[in-house]
Amino acid sequence: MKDEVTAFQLGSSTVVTLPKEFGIKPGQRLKIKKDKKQIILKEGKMTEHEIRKLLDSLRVDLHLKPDLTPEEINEELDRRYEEMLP
Amino acid sequence: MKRCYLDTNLLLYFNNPNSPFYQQAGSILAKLINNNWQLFLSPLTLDEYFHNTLRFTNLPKEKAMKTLKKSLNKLIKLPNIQLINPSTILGTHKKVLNFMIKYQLRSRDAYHLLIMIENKIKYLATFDNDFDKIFEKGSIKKFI
Repeated sequence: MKDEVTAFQLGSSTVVTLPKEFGIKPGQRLKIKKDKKQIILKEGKMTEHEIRKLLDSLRVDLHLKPDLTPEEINEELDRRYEEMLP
Repeated sequence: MKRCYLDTNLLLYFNNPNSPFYQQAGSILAKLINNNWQLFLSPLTLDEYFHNTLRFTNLPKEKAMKTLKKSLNKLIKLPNIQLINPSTILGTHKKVLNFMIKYQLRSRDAYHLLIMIENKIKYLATFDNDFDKIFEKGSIKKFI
């Protein structure tokens, strides 16, 4: 396993690629801490409170009709397909 | 890491605070995150999400587009989320027709099924009953 990684610029972000063997999945969140010359990544499990807080921060009110049913969602997609028919 | 495909209706209810399914959608996502599941979306799911949002929102179109962009930027920040597609091997897509016949699915639901099977995803988080026949067979399970 490599014991060195290189940082590079991707758009406005600085990206550090980690060796595959670390098993870090795309989208996985890690806790990060800087300690003098060390940067520590921790695979800490989020608490229920942290998860709730995270989900609240990721919600956006789409102002959809309140009584929207799964059936209506399907019917709308069917309608769109039917409109495309010659 | 267990793998779960997120259906369009789950995403819509997660962002619809006035829906009776709002709390449940949040609880499903919280449970998935808490147990460190790998979450999956496909362009097909996003297409349905975009279309239904624009169709059922009461926001004016320009504002709706801005809100949708904001919501997408947030959805992609869900922990362990990944975007997937079916294979580009043409022959694989014949399976869609078989699924339509076997499970009496609409073509797009059959595509969702193909995407899940091709990507070895055993769980679907949905509020839709159209997949009940598949759940009964047990090849894909409903995430509760």
